[in-house]
Amino acid sequence: MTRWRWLLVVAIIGVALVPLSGARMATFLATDVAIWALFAVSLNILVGYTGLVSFGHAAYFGIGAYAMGLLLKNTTVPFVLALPLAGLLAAMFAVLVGFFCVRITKVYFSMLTLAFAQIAWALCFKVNAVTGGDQGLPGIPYPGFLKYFDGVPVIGAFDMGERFHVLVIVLVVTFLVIIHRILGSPFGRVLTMIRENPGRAEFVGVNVRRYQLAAFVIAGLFAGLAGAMFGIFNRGMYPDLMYWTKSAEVLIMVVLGGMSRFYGPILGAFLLLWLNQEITAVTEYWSLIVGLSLMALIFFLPGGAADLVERGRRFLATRAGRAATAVVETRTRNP
Amino acid sequence: MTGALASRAEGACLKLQDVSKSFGGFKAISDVSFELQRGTINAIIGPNGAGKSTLFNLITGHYTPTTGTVWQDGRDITGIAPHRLSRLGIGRSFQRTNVFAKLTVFENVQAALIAHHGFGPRLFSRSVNLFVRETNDMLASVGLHDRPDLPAGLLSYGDQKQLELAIALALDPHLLLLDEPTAGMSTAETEKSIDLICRIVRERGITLLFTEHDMHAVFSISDRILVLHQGNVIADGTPNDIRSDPHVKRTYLGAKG
Repeated sequence: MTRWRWLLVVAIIGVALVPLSGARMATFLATDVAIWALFAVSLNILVGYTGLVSFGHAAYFGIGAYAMGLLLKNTTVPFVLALPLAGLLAAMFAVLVGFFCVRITKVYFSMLTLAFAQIAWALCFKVNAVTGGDQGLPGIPYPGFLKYFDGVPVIGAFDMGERFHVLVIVLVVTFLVIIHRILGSPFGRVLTMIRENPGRAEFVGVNVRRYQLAAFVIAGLFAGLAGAMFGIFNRGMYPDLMYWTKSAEVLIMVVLGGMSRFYGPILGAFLLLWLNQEITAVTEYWSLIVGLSLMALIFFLPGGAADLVERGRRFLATRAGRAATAVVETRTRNP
Repeated sequence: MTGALASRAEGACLKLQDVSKSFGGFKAISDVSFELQRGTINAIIGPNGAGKSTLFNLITGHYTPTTGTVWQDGRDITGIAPHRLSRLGIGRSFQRTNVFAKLTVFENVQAALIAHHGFGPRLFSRSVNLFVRETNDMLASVGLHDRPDLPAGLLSYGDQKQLELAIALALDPHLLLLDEPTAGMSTAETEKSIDLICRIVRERGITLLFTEHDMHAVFSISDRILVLHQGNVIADGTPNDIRSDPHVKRTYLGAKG
């Protein structure tokens, strides 16, 4: 297990230092994937762990992005304060929406989340004075403090976009660790009980609606944080990033990557964005390919890409196990 | 033992007073009243559609009675939300098996303990090491300790029923309501399961109210039997009383010869 953990640390450092490769597209993709991975994992708190399929998750992402854009463009609030504020605003909207949504179940829940998200989108689209309407908020600046890294080795040589990439990786990893911790906590266990059997959970003393609301708000918070970073990365925020198609996109990432594993949505974010980049370079039928691969996946690999990884890992484990049977047999015989 | 202590130990654990439930124009339960003495084993029998499950749902807050009152330990619990009720020491199992299918056997019981002890709001501690001993004890007492890591949905039907019992017992109930605890089990499984329930309930001094279709089981372990027919209690007494009741013989037991 510790070997896996070291491998993970090395991989994260590797991703953070992608700009060293000099490939601009690689850095761009890595930042994009990291932000969307956080977004998708936040949605999976609801879909994979609590059993609530939200069709309106882009609303919280968008609110976070608009909040960050407005704060950085129009005020002197520094990034370190603007980020939690953006997350908080998204979480507050999630409290409002969640309050109504957790009162209904299944497809009605999904439809209501979608309805609220469309209202949020329409508001951002119409309130020209604040959000810039269909013109959006162009020119969101990079966090000011990144200027002071000139003297730092390695990072000093990066330009602002590349420094921001390092910052995104650090923040996303931190947030993912926090989410992982929450999902492994007693609170997370209660969420899985609700997913499996809300009626039974109720009768072991769980106030199901309250926990669903808590999950909804936590998911909204992290989606808002992801959005806040995305606004800067995108150098602007536009209403179409809040449209329902974005909610669908992040849901596809969750399904494609596998909702039954923590890392599934991260894999899904990578696959979707990377394939998008590779395939659009060759053909314009990008969405056809996504549709077909989603169909294939649902039929042949309902657990998502994560399922494939787990199978591979089990295969390697049994092979390694066979090689070391003699050694292991004496050691694994503990109760 | 005298005074308050004695009355606590022997008094009514559950009391129903003129409880009725109508669905539209249909009266599923009409004016049912009874008291359960602490630490006793009580069965409700009656033909299908007599209103047994409805009665259970009225006690456990899934339905609110149209009229009447439900008391537990002298406290009015009529129509109280299920998640509150389980905190008051009432455990229940369901007629259709009701476990957390994708969680492992161990996690099922552990999760129930986590929720019951109010650990749910803890966001940042780790859950894996909580209540390990208690969970293992509970699994051992229902005979599922040999496969803690199996997803509960893969257990046999009978074993899922046992797991449900373990989940209900994890809440450390004073009053346990079991709706058809042996439904779908083989004769051998039924016998084993009934013995187990009887032993655990007696050991812990739990008041048991259960419904059961296996008359042999009902008459062998019950202290008292209530016969429900079309929403009315038509007989109430010890197994011997019920066996010799001419009315019950005619309407219910008689049908089986």
